[in-house]
Amino acid sequence: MHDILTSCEHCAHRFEVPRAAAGSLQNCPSCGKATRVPGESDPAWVPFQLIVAALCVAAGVVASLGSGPVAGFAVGGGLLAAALLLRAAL
Amino acid sequence: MNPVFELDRYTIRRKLLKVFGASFQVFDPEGRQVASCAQKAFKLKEDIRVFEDEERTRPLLTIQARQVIDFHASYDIVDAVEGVKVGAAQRAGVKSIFRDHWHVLDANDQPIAEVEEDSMGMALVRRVLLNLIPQTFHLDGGATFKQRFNPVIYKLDVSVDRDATVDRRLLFGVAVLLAAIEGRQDS
Repeated sequence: MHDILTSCEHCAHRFEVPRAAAGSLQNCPSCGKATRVPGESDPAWVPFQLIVAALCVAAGVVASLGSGPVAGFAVGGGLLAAALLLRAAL
Repeated sequence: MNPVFELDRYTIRRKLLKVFGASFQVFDPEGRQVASCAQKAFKLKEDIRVFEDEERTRPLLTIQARQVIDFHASYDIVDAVEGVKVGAAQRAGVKSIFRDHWHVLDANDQPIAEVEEDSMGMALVRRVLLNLIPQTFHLDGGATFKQRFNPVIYKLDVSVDRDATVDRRLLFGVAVLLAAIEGRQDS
């Protein structure tokens, strides 16, 4: 597995950490302070996001079958937007 | 290092009547409060802060989850004074279904100790009896975490061996995590 190149949020020093450290806090080898490594640490997170996206699309399809394509687009798009907003807030 | 971390014995007590989040107080063997902890409400990623004072102005530790989905939840424990990660604790998801089990990791995420519920038999009985029997955890790096029998207020007695090999700050963080995460299952 490839390493992640990250930079310290305190001293801007760039350093590599193992892929498994994604999403964790790691001590910077230069200043020693804990800094957040970007990325998702949980392997279950990616499929979880795909499932949420699929459920949004499915809800949109069901709504479009019942009330037309506009309603389907509104429901599916609305749920997807809500999920993205929630993701951004994390 | 703060003298709080040099205590060999202390008790973590969950505060009652907290509507949002959770709050804990830490007492030394003489009953003096030595620290307070706040578990933030409405955070999808667990965020626990440990302070030296009740007013929460002097932070000691921060404990933050890496994941939102916490089946194999890992928590980074940071010394808030020095800003240095002292280690991490990772809940063993599958094993913990039957018997609570945690891996204690050093600052480089290498396993250095294990925390486990006292016995498989007792763990299964607790799960059947909805956790009415208090939990006891042993850390093979030299500490014991013993819940008191009290159906109303969660209290966890922590006993650290003199020759404990694990960083005292990390041990303190693990104790707070056990009270916050495992203790939540009792409330």
